Amino acid sequence: MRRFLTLMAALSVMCSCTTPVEENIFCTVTMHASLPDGRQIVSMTIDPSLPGNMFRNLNTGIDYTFPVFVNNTCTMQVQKGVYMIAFDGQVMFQDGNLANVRFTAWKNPINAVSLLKDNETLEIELKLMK
Amino acid sequence: MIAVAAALLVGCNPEEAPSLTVDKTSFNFNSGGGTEGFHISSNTSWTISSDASGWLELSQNSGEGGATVTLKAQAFTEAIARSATVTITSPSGLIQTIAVVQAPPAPPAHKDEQAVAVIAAGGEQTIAVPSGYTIKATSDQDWLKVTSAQNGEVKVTVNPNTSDEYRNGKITVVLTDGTVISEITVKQSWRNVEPGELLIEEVYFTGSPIEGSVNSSDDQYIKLTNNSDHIVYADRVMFVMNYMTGTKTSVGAYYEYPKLEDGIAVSDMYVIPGNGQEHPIEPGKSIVLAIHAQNFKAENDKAFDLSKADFEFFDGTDHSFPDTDNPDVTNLEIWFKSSMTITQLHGRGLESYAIVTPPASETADALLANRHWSGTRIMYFNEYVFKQDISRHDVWVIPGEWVIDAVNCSLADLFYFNPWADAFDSGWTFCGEFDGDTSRFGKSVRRRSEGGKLLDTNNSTNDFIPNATPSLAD
Amino acid sequence: MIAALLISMLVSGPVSDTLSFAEMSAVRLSPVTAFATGSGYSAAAWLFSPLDTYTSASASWVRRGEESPLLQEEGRQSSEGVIDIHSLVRLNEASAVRGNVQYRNGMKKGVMWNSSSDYDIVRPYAVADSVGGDVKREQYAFSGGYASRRDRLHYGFEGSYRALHEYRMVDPRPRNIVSDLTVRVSVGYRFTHRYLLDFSTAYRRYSQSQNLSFYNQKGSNSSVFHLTGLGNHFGRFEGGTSAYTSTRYAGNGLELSLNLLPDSVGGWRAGLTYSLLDIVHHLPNQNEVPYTELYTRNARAEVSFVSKNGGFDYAAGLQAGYESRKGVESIIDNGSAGRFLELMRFSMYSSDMFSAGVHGTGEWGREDGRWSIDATADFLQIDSRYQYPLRKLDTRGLDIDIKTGYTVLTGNNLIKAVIEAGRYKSFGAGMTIPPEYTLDKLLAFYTDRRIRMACSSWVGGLSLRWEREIGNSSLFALTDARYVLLDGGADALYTTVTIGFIF
Repeated sequence: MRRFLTLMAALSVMCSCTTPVEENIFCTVTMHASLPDGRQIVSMTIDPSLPGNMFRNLNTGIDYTFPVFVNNTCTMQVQKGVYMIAFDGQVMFQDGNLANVRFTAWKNPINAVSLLKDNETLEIELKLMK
Repeated sequence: MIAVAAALLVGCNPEEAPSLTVDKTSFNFNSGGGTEGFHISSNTSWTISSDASGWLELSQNSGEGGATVTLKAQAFTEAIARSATVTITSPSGLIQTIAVVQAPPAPPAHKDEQAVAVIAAGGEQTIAVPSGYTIKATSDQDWLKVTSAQNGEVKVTVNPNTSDEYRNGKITVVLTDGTVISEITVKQSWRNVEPGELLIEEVYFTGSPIEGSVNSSDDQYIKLTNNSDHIVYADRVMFVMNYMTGTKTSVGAYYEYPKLEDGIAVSDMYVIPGNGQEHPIEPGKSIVLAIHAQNFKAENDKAFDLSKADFEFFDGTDHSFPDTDNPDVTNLEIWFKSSMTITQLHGRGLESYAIVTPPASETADALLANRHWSGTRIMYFNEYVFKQDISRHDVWVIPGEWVIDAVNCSLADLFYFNPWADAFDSGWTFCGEFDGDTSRFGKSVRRRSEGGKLLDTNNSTNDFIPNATPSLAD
Repeated sequence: MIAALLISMLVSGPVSDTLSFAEMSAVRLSPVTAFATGSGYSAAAWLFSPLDTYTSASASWVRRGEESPLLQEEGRQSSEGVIDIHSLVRLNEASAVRGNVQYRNGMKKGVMWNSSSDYDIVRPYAVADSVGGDVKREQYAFSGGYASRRDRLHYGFEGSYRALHEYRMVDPRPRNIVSDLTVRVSVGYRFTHRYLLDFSTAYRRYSQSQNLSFYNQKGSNSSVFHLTGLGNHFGRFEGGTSAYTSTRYAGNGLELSLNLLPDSVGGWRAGLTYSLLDIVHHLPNQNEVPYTELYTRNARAEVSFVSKNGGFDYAAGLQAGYESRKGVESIIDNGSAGRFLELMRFSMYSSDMFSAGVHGTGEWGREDGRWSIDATADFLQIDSRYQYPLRKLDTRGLDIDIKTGYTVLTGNNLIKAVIEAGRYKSFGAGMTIPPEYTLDKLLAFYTDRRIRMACSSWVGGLSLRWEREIGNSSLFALTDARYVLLDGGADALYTTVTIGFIF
């Protein structure tokens, strides 16, 4: 009975939309951070408790916590969607010095970035804060 | 015979020859001075003299026989060594001399380099330089005058800067041998308050709730605070409101504007009057700008008494909604107001604010004439597109370098971009959780403090506490 | 459909003059007849129902009061006045028309987390506020059909339309208008001397415009949420701005049904029905962008046997039903192009409801007094799931119900009394809802729902009907009360009072 009913459901042709339904809802996103002077970043931490730090799905409102960037890079898995990304973080250089950095390229809803593929790469161009 | 022998013995003993000796013939003192001694051995009387001009003190000037004499040298700050001769003389003409040399202080290992910032109003400045030297200071600018240079301090008088730009001067401090020990760069601003020194600490735009009413009191205010370690002057600080709308309208329409990264587009400009030094603000202290400097508490115990505010937005009486003036509160100068009647802060917080300092040469007429914004803004609503010519609107561009602080306010369900660019504020703050939220009444946006200073990272999302208890309620 | 009703009202009096109205009512009110006519009658097959020409007009007051409602989205209390006119006219031996007009006006009180109408149709994609309140409602419904047979063939068509208006008079103020049109066509063939095979198809067009507004100029005390299932909501459109508080549902449906039935009351019956309804939820003020879609599929199978010979009449049957709901959410772009585009769609919500049951009824006695007994046992299973963040809600239960009735016919009066007793045994309810992704109030709401779903209950009911023949018509009054007592102590009462006449 269940197989018959499933078949009937599959034969339904009443869908009013042409965009297909996506099977895999997750995207693995890799972020490469860089500074204007090209310095190597040993690590970068982004404090999730700061309200201005966001990796936020524009539609669902879900916020993700940034992992620690190591050697300029980090990877995380998020639901596919359109994202507002902005943060103030702290980087450590190879000489052990620390510096505060800011990223705001995708902080506004109007220029939120789409992450729709199974794998995406984002270039994060940081600014040094005084 | 015996008598003669006795006489001969007596009369034939010969008299002792006078003697005068000293155990040291030279002394070296360092620049700090000090005390040294020497011993005179003599069988006669003697006198001591020195050719030092007051810097060498002797414990005694004369004596007889043996004695220990103390030499005391004073501290020395000049760049070249000095010497003196101490002469001990006996009446019989015996002479002993002692050479005394005092070394100069060692010059600093590294040249002292300093940068000093001065506000446009100028005034007296005291600058600390390496001490322990006799110094001379000179300036390379007419507007920067050295009034004294001693005891490790250089005092200067800075003339007011009436230009529209920063200006730099240099003070050079030298030792008596011309060795440069300190170079001081004096940067004088064209304004009396720099970015980060005076901050918007609080904006109270929601108004206080009125019991049993859907309305709120009009007790709106803005609080500006001196976040520096020195006095700043509020004269000519201008409070502005945004022209660009970063929130959608209630039906979902929104605007796209021409790019503006190095300035802010404003529609309302209110200026604190003064000649430059009439309104000082001590470090850590604040001033309150009240929309209406009235005692709202008299009629609503949840509201605030703003009758003692520092400044007031008074919008005159020659229109359909006459404003009320508090004669005891200084009125802000209106350079432009977009309202046909009175100016109010947006009650739901869909507005951005900034404080800017126009140069001394800028006047209201010049600004309105020369800084109008032109371009096209596009309104999107559903699938309709409307283009509008900005040059027909009341909007002016304030250059970014004039801005000393800015804050964006918005709401999550309406926000789509920041009217102020990232350079001025890369975030936004709010009261209420959604548009029209009645729980917002009686709350304000307040800047956080850290270590006794207000937090200022140019990101009001992090820097401000949303839905905060107003400071006047504390 | 209106024409059918008007035609029927011009024709008065029974086709058969051998039975009085009271006697016909006894036939019509027989549980065995009700069993036989309860399902399987398509737009054409109702031609073979045992009912003769009649018109019924009634006015009812329906009240529901629940201390702990299972569906608080429909309120904890409702009261409604209903005017119902139904008519069936056998034009001749081979054709008939039927029509129905209904008007309902009332109020639902204590509606929570639902500002949309037809919650059972659009769930989980309701628009909601966190305040709730009382909702006034007004509904008109019309239906009408024509059926005819020729030789072994029979055919029929039918249309029905429902218009619903729901609104609230205090902030937040929903104002919803529903339009629901269904057109049915069926054909059948008599393949033996007694049995018919009937095929039916229907098309449904559903639309609802849903608006939420705030008249308080200084603001409201609720944000508006676009729910997406099991406590989740579409965060982007949360808020108080009217850009997001107006939505539109647009649906299309289809039904296919195949039935085997006898040409009279007695005999075997079997039926298979499949229906689907696809509803797209749009934001009219965001260039009509579709942000959620609901695909509802229903399948039902049943087999039964009815024996009616005037002595001991009985009927027994089995039924099984399955409903599947699939919810799809859109990824909508950032709108920088000046309009909102749908980039991608995800199937995020699913709800499967399975039911299976057995039903038996019997009636015996004399013409002036007959006993009846009606028993049902139904198993129900509901499994709901939201894909990410993972949310689940499921429950199982068994419902057993017995009704015992006595109908007495004295002269021109008919009195029927029915006593009901039943037990719903819940086999528990499980829930997984991540608190970090759920509003506190919604989490509390679903926690209460889970507790409610896990609750078993006892049911007791009483129904009294009195009917009196007056000339060529009859007057009737009916009162019905059903009391439910949950194991936790909360209770519910459902009452109906109806007066009407039949001619």
